[in-house]
Amino acid sequence: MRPRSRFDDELEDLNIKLIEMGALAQEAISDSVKALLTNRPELAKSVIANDRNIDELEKVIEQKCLKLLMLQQPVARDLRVISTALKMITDLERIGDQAADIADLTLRFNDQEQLSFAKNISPMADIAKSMVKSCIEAYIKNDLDLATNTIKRDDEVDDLFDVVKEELIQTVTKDKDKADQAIDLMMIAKYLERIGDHAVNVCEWVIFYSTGLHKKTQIL
Amino acid sequence: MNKKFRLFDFFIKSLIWISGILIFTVLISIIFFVFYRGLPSISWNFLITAPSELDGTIGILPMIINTVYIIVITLVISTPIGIFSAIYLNEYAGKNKLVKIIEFTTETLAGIPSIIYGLFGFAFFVVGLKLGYSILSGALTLTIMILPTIIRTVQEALKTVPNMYREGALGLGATKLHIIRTILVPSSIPGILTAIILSIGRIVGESAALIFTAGLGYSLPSGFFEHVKSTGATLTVQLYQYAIRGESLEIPFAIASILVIIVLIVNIATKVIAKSFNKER
Amino acid sequence: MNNFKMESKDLHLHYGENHVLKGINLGVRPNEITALIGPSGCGKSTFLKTLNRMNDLVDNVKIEGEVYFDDINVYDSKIDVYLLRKRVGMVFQKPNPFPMSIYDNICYGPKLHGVVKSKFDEIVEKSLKGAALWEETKDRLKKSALSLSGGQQQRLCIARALAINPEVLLMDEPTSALDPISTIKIEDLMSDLRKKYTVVIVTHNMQQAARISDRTAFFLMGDMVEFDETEKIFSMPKDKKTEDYITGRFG
Repeated sequence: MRPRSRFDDELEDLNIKLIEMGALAQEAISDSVKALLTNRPELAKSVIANDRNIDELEKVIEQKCLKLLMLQQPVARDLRVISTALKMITDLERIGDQAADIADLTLRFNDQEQLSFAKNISPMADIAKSMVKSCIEAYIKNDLDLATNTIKRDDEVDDLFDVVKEELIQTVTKDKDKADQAIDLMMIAKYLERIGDHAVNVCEWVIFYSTGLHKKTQIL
Repeated sequence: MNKKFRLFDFFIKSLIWISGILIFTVLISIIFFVFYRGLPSISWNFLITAPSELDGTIGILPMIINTVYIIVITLVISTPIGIFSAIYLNEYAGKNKLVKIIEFTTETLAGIPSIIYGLFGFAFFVVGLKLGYSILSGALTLTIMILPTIIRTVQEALKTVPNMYREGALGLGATKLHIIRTILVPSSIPGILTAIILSIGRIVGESAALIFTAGLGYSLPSGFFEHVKSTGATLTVQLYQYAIRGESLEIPFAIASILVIIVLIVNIATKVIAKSFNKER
Repeated sequence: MNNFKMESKDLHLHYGENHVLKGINLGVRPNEITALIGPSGCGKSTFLKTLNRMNDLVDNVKIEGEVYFDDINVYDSKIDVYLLRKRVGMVFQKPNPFPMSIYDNICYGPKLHGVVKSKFDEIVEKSLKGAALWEETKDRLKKSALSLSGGQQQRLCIARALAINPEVLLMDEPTSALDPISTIKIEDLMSDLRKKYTVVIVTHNMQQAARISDRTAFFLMGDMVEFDETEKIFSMPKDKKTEDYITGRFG
């Protein structure tokens, strides 16, 4: 038997669970964007229902990480694997929550017309969705370049957020009756912007895993 | 299977007990028998007179004195030599072939019949060095005879001193000689005492090696050095002489009783000394 | 001059045919704890013993290279080895108090190095306090050292080493024969010792190296693979072999 095989098996299991959680988060955001853009309430409902699975998985992973810290007293790479997992799941869970929040708001939409208030919501949603996809991919492949590029794309989301905000201000200025719907859209934009930030966080932990650097500071 | 095993266990245990009891009984019977036959003949007069046809005495005082002389002289010569040799072999000599040969030789010497030492002592000390039949010749012969025992016993004692003491002292900057003086020798004192008891036992019990070397003299000493140079029989030699004359066994048994008492006293004394040494630490 | 208390330069050591140390360059900084880790037979204990020449006693040993203590070459033939060992003290794997009283154990070194008897009481108290053993033993200094528990015995050995005022303290797996509580006591003691002494410790317990040392050297098969600040060794070791060892992938 090779040494520490049990610990290695546990770490592999942790990795698989983390990928699974990433996939669920990615699916949540992609479904909720689809529900938003194509007005499919039944899809939105399933996103809300599935959020429970993500929360559940977060708990499982959290428990597993703490147990490994206690029992194995990991150092060096092992310690980074586990701390990366512990930090990443918080962001993945938030992504899932916000996808559910978007889905929740989508359910209040009556027609497609509302979307036209802010035309840039659609590209913003696409970028946020692809950032989540990339950050999960960067983790799975341990791809530092992909992680760095994904972090850079957050600026696009932030810029689009300002554009959307501007669009909505104009909509409300023209027609005060649309204020309620505009605020819903504003919240969706905010959620998308937050999702971008969480994707950036995940990427930062991916970089930390390989280098020990977090936001350019050596923390381990 | 289990039952069979238990039966076997019981059998072996019984065997051990029987052997133990047997040894104990034999020992006690011998001592009892010797005392039974010997003690009645012991009188104050017997202890403080010399054998004399003129006075009609058959005392053993000279032999007691001779025995003490031989014990003391032999130990005075052999103990330091034995201890130093043991220290040399154990601490300095390393593990080369010469040491192995020396160790093998000492072991062999320890097993040689004492009459051969007697023969050698006669040829070398009595005739060769012209020391004549004398207590000195006898003591020197016995020195050679008991040296292997002393060396082996002290060596064993030194070997049981854990190496970590040596390391610890070296780590404090002690020299080898200092370690020997302050740790090895003090730790080996029980072993050294054992060596001395064993030696006394052998000296007291020895006759064959002394007959040809110390002779059969029975005069009282007139001075220490004169006496060392004169012939003198020990108790055991005297016992032997009386016994082969075959006139009566009263006197041999009386002497035997005294020998048994001496051996007992020596053993008990050393035990007490060793105990007090252990307590000090 | 450099700022090392002890330093080995291209140190090679052979036991007969075995090449046990293969060119070790290691500098021990003053008032730090330097830990030597590595699998059994990697040469870490052997290296430790070269620092106060305890290897001299072994048959067939051949040493090349240099070991400096301040600016003295330890392997210079003119060196007084016994004085060197007074200045570079040692604590061993198994507690080895001498079979004498606690008091006499402490005084063994001072007596040896010619300290006057009138100072003994003071030295005994100071050394035992330095080894955090005074409170437990002050009422039974004349009792046999062998009556102490294992952990106390090891602290006594530390006190015994401190009694001759060494500058460097070498410790060869000092807690490997002790229970966890005694181990923690000795570890606590070591961080105090660092203030006055320079400590080099060989340990099999990696957590121990991580907990107490400032710098850690990783030895493997007679080579020193990596030597760095302990935090770096245990977070981002540069060498894959170091990482594999500290994470338990071999050894």
